[in-house]
Amino acid sequence: MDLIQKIRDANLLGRSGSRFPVFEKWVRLSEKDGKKFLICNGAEGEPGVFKDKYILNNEPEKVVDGIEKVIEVLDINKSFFYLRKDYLKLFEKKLKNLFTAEIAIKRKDDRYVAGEETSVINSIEGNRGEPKIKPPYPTEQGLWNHPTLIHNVETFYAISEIANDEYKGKKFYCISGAVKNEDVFKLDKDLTVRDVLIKTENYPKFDFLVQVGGGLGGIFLSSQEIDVTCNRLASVKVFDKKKFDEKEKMKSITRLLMHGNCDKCTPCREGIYRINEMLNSGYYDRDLLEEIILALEKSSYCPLGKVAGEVLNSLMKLYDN
Amino acid sequence: MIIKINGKNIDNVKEGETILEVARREDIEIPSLCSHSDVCVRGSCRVCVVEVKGCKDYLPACATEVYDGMEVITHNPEIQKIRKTNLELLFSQHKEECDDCVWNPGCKLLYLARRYFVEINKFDDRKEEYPELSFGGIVDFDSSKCIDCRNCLEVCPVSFLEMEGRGHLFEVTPSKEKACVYCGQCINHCPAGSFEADGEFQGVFKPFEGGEDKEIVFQIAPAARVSISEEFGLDLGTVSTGKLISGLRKVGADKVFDVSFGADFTTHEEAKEFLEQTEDDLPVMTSCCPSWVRFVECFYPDFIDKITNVRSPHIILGAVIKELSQNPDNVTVVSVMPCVSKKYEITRDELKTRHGRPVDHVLTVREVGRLFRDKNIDFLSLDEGEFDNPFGAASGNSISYGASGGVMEAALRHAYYLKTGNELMDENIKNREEFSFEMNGRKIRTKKINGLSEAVHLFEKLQENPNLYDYIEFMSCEGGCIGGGGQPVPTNERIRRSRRRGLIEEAKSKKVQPTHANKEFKKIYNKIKDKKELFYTTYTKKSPIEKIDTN
Repeated sequence: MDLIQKIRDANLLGRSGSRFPVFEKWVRLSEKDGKKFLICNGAEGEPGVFKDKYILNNEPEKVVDGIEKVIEVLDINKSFFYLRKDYLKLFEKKLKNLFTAEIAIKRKDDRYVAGEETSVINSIEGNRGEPKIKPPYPTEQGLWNHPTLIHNVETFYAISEIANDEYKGKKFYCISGAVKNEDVFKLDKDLTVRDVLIKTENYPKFDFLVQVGGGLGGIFLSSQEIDVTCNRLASVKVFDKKKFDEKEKMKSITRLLMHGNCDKCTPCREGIYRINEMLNSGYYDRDLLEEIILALEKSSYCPLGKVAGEVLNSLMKLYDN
Repeated sequence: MIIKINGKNIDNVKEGETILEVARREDIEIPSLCSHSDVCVRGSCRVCVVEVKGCKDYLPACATEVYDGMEVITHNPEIQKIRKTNLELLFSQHKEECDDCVWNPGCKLLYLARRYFVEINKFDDRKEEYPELSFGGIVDFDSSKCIDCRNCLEVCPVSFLEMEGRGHLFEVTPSKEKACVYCGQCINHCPAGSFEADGEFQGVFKPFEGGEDKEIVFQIAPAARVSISEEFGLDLGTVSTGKLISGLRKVGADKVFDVSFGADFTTHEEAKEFLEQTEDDLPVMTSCCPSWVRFVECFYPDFIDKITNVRSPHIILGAVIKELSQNPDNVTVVSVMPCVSKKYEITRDELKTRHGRPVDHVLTVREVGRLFRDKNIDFLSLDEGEFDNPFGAASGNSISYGASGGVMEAALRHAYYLKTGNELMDENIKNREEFSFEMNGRKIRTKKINGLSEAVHLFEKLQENPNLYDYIEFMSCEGGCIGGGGQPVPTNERIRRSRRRGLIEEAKSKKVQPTHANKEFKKIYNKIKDKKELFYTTYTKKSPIEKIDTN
């Protein structure tokens, strides 16, 4: 059975957090003639997410194998491995020794947003790492306007497993915060947050809440709401409820976002700034917060602003209760 | 393709059109700020967001292409709320300075503020302390008004404006390694009025401050007489030469002359010069656009020798006016221009004659609009005035200077006549980017450029093969002077087309078409003794780094 069919049967979803069907991207790319590019995205900029690092540390050969299988199957002309600065230091040598195909390693721009796929493309093209308008999607017009396939490190890892008939429907979970075993775990892909905590022997004995999906892009849930799957990045951070201050959290998240965004669109550039300003000056205007969150969620340019809206919304609701 | 907007079927929708384009055509209101026909889709202000059935988030109408069966809702309570929030956030970074703004009257931000019940001062101005910068004393940038749409970056032909990190923010800043060419396109393309020309608008009364006994002489550029209509709400493309003349008289002009009359001098001299060139001198490059000249002087000094030494029309006419005056020291010459760069041109020392600077002041079309409003001139009810003699009877060919291609066309038609004694009958010269014709067995190859980025490509070609063209017209602004940086806001593709239409109408209305048939011109021309001093200039290599002052 060919790899494309195997990927389809496995119903593999992208592991960057977007959960976009891998097969669909491949179909779009395989319909294209001419030059095609591939990017392996190792930006991993989400605080509290370190699964790509874990994979590159322990099984980099699988990632490279995944990339090289795809190069062959989809007839890719040129490939790039995009890595954040510290990962570059750690893994560049090791990866280069593993490459048998021609793969260029590129350093990530420093900003948080530079891990988003169109920003990655901008950055590799030599532009500022900030998002481009979609559509056109990268599979239509990516690097230098050529069709481009972009997957996360873990996605290539899973592709390799599928290609070699080793795939058992597992993915990597990052557990951090107020837990005993802060680590990366390879578990069934559709576990609920509760099950993840139980299986990793991390279920807290105290009153707690969690952030699911990363330190900036993760939604906050109370301990009553954890019977949901990790539907973005598989990361769970546990907080002791007694020590948790929603407003302080909002403050630190907005501060990080202000430094991590691209400043292109109004709600993200100005809205996040105003929320941060409000919290810093010690008052809490819930109506204003709600207004800005709505604009962020529904009218931001790229996923960063939209997700920021959802995250702040979850914190606002926790605070309400 | 059919789409639905607010429940109404709209057919004849073409692939590749955006929701905003379709809505505008159908007269359906979608508010927008950063979208402009001259820049690629930016989608940054998020004011034009609309609902598209089946999409979770609202989409920017300016950046979303239509597809068959698409259903769009332009207004619902949530969208209204989001637009209001985004507008309030935009106002929070925009220091209001409405009394002194190129968008007053007609500011889109203020219009939308009323439309969406925006609390303009909901937040403190984030940019309160931001600096006001002056580029070479010609273009001012008030960074406290900038709303970060980045349109200026795209229209700046020399990438003088760029994004720079400032704390956690990326912001528009002038380059420390480049020069500004003062084309003023940033002014017409900024939706927030962050840019303006020097003197806009505090300087509009300056021409009248010389004292009671001064003779104040105005001269009007071709591309100003159509666009002035826009300042007073007349239909696009309306020719208002007569009203403009009357208005200027009302505010204190003693004489009003036609810059196009000066263009006849430029045409004649350029034609003569061209016919004298040897093959090594070619191609001849035009000199009327001061931004273009500055561009060469700053960035491509190797090409300086190729620029014709003939002065631009208003500089020649200014000098002629003073030369033939009984009391030249007592004359103040004011040019009404579609251009910001002309404010720079008049400061060039190379242009001084024995009577000092040929032109004392330049007012842009926007400034004349402001001047008339401040003086309570009821523009619409003004008489149809006529130019004063003797510098009022320009040829039709010289009116065409106002649109891209016009300068070269006039010069070459005239050269052809001087050489062959016949008129060049070919009309193709008007419309083509590249055109060649025979003149006494010699093939003359021409090219017209509007936009300096195009010029860069051409220079690259010319560096490889200098012998590609005989004559090249360069204009810095899109469409030539009709799209100049001193023209009213807004200026866009549709408006430039209408100005061009008006200009052609005005040119046709002239009694005399070719320069050689203009007897009035010949009479004056023969009176000028020192032609070299009045009609010719020089160019020198200039620093490619701009002088930036903080006001």
